[in-house]
Amino acid sequence: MGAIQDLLSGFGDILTLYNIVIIFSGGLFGTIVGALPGLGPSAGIALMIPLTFGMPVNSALCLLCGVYMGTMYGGRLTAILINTPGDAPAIMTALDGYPLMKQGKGGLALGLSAYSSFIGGTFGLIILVFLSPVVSEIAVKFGAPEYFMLMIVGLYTISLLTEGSILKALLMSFFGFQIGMFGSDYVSGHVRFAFTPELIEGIDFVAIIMGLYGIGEVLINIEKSVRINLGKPSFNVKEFIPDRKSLKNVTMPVLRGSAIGTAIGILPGAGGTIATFLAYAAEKKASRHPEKFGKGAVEGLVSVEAANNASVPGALIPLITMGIPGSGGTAILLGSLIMYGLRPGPLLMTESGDIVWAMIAGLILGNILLFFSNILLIPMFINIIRIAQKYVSPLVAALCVIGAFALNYSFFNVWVMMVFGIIGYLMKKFKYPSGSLILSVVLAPLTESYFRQALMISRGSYSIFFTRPVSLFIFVLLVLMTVFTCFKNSSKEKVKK
Amino acid sequence: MKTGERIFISLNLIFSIIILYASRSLPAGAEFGIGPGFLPKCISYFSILLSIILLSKSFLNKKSAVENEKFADRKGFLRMLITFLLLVLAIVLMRFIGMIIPLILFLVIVFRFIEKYSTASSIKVAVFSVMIFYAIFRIWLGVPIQII
Repeated sequence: MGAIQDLLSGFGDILTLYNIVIIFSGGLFGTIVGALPGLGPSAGIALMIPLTFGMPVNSALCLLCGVYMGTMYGGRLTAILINTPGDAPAIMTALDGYPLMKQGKGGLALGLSAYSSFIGGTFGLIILVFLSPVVSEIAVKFGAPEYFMLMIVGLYTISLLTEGSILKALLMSFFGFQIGMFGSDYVSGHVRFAFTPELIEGIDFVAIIMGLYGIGEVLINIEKSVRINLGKPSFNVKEFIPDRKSLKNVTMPVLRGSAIGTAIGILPGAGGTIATFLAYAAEKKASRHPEKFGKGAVEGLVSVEAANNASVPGALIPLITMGIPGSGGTAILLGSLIMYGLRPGPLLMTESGDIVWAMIAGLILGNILLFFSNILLIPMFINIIRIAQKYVSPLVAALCVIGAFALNYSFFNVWVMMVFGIIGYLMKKFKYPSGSLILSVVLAPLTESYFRQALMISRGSYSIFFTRPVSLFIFVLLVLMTVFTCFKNSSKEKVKK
Repeated sequence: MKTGERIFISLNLIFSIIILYASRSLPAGAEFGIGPGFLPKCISYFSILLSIILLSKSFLNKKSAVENEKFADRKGFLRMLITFLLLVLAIVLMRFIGMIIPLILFLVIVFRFIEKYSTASSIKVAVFSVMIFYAIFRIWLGVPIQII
């Protein structure tokens, strides 16, 4: 009951015309960014951060969460319409969404996918509302050694679960760690790696993400000259509204997808892409007509869409309760929390509970607004995407320059952003994951702080990480994960051979 | 592609060596714990090790997946490089003539000559977009963006 009361008070805080407009606009922006190939949730959130500087914290977080949720809705649009996924999770949407479009059922596919996205998001949010306080209560009992081990789990899993080479992901984690340690060390008073006076405060996290996800993506898009030909599909609004029978038929696939999405979202490093792959595989297995999958199976479409949107609230659970982000997008949100003066971690729900609940209320409101806008405004989205994609890359570059300047009204951050733009471009070219890098940049100071505290408790003895039950359990988990990954990789190699 | 990746890894290796060198002056230990130099040194060692492994792998694995991929096609790479240099030039100009004019010029040139849109639409979109950015950042958020 406490959670419901807190949530209601969160709604009380955000239900103003200003916030509703902010959430709605964030959702629309996110939907368009999500639909444009090359720009994903991380880019969407990164581009919006400079706009939040003058806002109250509640509104700023509502805007960022609206964008995050919106990108999850947006990816499906171009996947269904022209078989071009706007982001990685939408790859699975295209498998059955596009065949439905070719069969003349594009309107139904868009409507059902919006509906399943909404149910998936709602399911995840319900779990977030009721599970967060419970996890938070347990997390409060953790000490520095447990937190240090959890941070390592977060950093390690995102590398292990990466789609490409684990070594590359680990290298990026180490690089991010090095970047995260620039600037003043507040415990000892030493200044680390301040090669110029501007670096005394460290490298600005927002300049890094705008470089990696803004400039880096822009350079790739301009090089590849990404163009999508949306044509002029004509839909009647009625086509987007599914009838009762269709809704009844998709109930179970949507619920299965929602459950898988939420569970996978909670795991660090897994995220929407893995959630959609697993949901699709599970649905195919559960179906009486698996042969229809890939040829326009509605169950396949709705299940992956539900899983994708459910993974967002799922990923927020470890972020809110323990301060551990599981993906690039949530790492950026964590960085934003720190930027707004909040202290992410187990005490966040106690110290800044009002802000957290307002953020969750904003997510619920955003999900509802996105549902209606993604059913009623589809023609508008298609037109905006058609025009925006022509001009988007240079405009994003210009926005990044102004945004980086706005961080502290100096050109130093603009140059930092440009350097990370080149790094982002090269990383994308050579398939180095950016999620590991961002996660490390954000977690480096926290990890170091917990490591120090743990050693102070044990008077310098490393045995503290193996003698306390929870941290020992996490350590064993790490070892098992490594063994499992090595086993999986060697099996893959054998299959390849 | 392989050469490009080798350069990228080598740059990472050099960066790690610089960090390792710079952290020499930082104490690694403190009373009952670690000093400010401990983690940078450890991480740099790991990073150097990983860079060497990845470099060796790129030399030993003669048929890697990315080996046959081209880094970029010449036209696309030139398009990207020119856009990047134009953006750098615009940022340099901002110090002397404010933000608005260099941004409009950058957008117009990229729209007209890189993206090949008509002059009229390039100018219209550039001016309109920069006006919106100005309204958001200068008027709404109070960022001191200088016109000239």
